[in-house]
Amino acid sequence: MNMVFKALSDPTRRRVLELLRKRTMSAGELADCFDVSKPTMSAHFAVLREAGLIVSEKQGKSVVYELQMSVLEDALLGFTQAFGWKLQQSKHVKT
Amino acid sequence: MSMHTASSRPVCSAVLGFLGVTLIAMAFGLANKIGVIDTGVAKRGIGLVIGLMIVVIGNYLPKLRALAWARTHAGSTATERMSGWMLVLTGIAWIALFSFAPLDQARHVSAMIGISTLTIIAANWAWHARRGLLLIRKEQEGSAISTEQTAGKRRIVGYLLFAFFYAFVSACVKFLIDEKQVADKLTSWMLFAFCILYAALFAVLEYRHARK
Repeated sequence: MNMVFKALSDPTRRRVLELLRKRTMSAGELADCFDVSKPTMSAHFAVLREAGLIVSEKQGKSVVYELQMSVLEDALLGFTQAFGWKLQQSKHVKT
Repeated sequence: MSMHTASSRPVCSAVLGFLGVTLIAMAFGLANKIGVIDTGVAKRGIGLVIGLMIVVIGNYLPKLRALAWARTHAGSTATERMSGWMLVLTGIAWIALFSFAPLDQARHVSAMIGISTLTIIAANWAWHARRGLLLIRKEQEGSAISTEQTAGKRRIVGYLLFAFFYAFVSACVKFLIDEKQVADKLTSWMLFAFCILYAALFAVLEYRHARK
């Protein structure tokens, strides 16, 4: 559970989860939504994967990420949003 | 080309949770049979435990990727997430009903809620599976090459969900029947049907696995 809290504590990672709620996305597509370097994004993906919140799937040359959150984790993410940690506040997120 | 890197942790947790809760429910039944607790307490206990089981499985359902074979990559996780949320809320309602409501009302209302939830989930999954089947037909062998580990996990998830949904349906049906003799007869028949259906599922899944 510590890993889940760690993963949800970062606004960029929460934004990634929010994007993946809509549809599965490739690493490139996700990285394009943020103003951070690709290695930094990879580190974020690794944290989310380690926490079991997302799964990766190799499709040819690209890696596709898909949401894999339990209902409790989903509720926790909603909780962080409800309490004012708005994802748009992340300075790394492209507007 | 498709290789999932999901861990088997959620599958293990869901299986252990299901088995643990089933054992507690059996303990309530046994305690009632040997006269340690009266029938009313046992029924409430079993209702609460089934509610807990629904919450546990509902919580893990989006992680189990039950519909992974029918993924269309367009809102594919939404179906599983919605089913998970519905089951968790249903489980909480069952726990609340069996904790606070009069037993007769708790049994009937919980059964109604359970049947409604199951109907919505079944309709939703059937719709999603139909779309998935169409997609698989289009792609044919083009994509889905699953690893041995993934196939094994899917089989376990299949057995787990079959057992869970069967137990859930049985509980709903039994709670709707007031006459004890009819309910007892039905229980033994449902147990018999479960063994046959489980054996059939086992044969189908293992045969398909062996063919691959």
